[in-house]
Amino acid sequence: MTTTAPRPAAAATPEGVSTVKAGRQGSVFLDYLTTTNHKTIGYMYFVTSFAYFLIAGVMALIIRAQLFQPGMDLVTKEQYNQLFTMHGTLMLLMFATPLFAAFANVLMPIQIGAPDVAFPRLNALAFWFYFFGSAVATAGFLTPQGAASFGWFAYAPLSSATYTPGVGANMWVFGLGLSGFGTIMGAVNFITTIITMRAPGMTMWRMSIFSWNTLITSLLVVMVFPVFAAAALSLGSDRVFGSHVFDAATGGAILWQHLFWFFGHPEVYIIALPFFGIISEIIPVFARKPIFGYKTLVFATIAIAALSMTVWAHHMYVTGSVLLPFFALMTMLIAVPTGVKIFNWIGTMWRGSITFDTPLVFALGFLVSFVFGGLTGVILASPPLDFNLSDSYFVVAHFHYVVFGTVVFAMFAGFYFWWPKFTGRKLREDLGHLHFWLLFVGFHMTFLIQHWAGVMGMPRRYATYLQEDGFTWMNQLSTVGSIVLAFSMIPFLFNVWWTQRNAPLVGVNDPWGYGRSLEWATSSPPPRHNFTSIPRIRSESPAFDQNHPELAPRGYLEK
Amino acid sequence: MVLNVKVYLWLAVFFLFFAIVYPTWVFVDGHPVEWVGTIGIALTMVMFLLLGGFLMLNLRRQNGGVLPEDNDFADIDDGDTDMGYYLPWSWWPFFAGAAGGIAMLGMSVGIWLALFSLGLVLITFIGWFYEPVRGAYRR
Repeated sequence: MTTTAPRPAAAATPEGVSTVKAGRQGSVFLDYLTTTNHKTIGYMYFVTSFAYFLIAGVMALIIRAQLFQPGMDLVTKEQYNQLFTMHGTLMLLMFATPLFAAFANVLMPIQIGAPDVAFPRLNALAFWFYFFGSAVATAGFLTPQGAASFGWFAYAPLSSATYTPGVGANMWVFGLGLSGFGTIMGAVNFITTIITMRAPGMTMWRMSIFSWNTLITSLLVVMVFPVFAAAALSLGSDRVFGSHVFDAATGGAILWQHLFWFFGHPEVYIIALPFFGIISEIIPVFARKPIFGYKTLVFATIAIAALSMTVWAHHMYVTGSVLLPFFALMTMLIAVPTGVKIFNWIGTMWRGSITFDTPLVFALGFLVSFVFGGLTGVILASPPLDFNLSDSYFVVAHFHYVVFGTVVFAMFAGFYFWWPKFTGRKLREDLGHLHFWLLFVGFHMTFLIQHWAGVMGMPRRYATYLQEDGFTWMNQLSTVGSIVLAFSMIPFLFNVWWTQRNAPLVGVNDPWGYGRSLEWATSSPPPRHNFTSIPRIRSESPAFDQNHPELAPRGYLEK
Repeated sequence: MVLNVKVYLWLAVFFLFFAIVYPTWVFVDGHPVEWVGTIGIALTMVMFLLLGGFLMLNLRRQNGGVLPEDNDFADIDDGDTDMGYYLPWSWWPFFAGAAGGIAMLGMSVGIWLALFSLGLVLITFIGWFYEPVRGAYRR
């Protein structure tokens, strides 16, 4: 006898959520290849850049495992050089920079009330240039001599065909050139979109801080990425066609350093500013207060971007041929607008009705880590201190605090915050908190000790060290921390999988209840052209004004 | 628009200042000329002059009128709903990106591949620009 269970009734669909799906399931892949939809392109950026984040993370784990104890037990020196080179390259140029494009693509048009970006096909081309350029650069691992191994700064003459022969290094140079073009195209597209496609009433002073930061970051991209693309292709011409642009005999070594850091320092701000924007979006929502000092925050961002163009040679103090007082002064000056931002974020939380939802917890983790990194940055800005600390693990610790603290913490804050907007489902809070604490503890355990290792003299980029150096225990602590850090990805990935399978649809425009910018005034996920109707825009928080008209600016409800 | 013009022109002033101060300071301190920063900062200034200047010309053309997105009291239906035309999907960005990838791969592994990709780049360029002229999206 056969027992049959009754067919379960279809779950009730919350009101306002469309159940209509266009097209067949198999068309998703085709849709990804041919899309010009800014949200889909943004999700493609998310997936690709997160994949590179995981790959580069595995490289970091191998590096840490190699440094667990003295001796060359795990990898050869050449492999070690390839690992740290590609770790840096992947993290900066294939993870952090495209992650900016990801967040900006999905959110910025919605936040300014636009149906799409200004140049949708160019936007797609920017993604494919990034995709194929990064693939070419990473595929160096498949060549017989392995990937590039000259460090992610590719200093001349080490990066010449004489000292680093091999196809893998060529692929690094040309692949990054191509992905650099993609980044420039994306930035041009964002600038045009913000200048020309804002909704009526969305004046510049009413744009969300994230959109402002997208604009300013894109301007930075347009200022410096052409320099990088030109330098990379010149290096490629040196390597392949035998030109002598970066020939050491004619001052090419210092020329490359100047060109690279003229790009490289603003690049740090390119990957920091958008994530400051994410933090500025999250804190007001969970403090239930408008952002404190909106205009100072914007001016601080502009000041950081402008000043960041005049500090590049602080990476070159030890060359002995740069203008020390100028660059020390400018570098310390840049701490002022950064401090203004920290002050604004704390001021936003001050006396707010804070709830510690996962996005805010990650934002606080960002604040703690980033302030640490900023303080060590002021130390390194001072030439006499930098002469002692340059190319030591102190520098490694410093930039991991700055870059990991900003990009990774703010990325996860943004993921937890906007996941309902992206997918219509809220990530689990308990797993989110577990994820945060594993990440936070693992991160600080890995990198805090490296400050002292650097002060004791552990040099950067060495494949091993001696027992007598006395930093074995420091490296072991750091390696254990990196394993905790790696394990923190498990709750996150499980959370994503579980949420997609089991979480109910949120079914409302604003699942957090106090969302401020315009993306919280459309359905989750938004329709193809983002809005079925846009609320009246009278402040920088149109969604909040719509849901809480009693708190909106005077005259909001008048016709 | 006024704000955009102001921001870009003030940034141009900022970079003009440093395009003068930096090389002067280098000279006074007795270093040889540092070409990258001197030219780089000056060119950044030129870029902002270009951007700000172009937007200022656009602003002049408005003859004192205010765009809905710059009007503090505009309602959503004050905007022009005509946003131009958008292609709902396109194959060309993918093929153009792939052609670029093959070109760069060719530069690194063997020139023959780069020469081959030159043809692909040409085809994708033509396909890209003529997409709205023929086929499904003919206008």
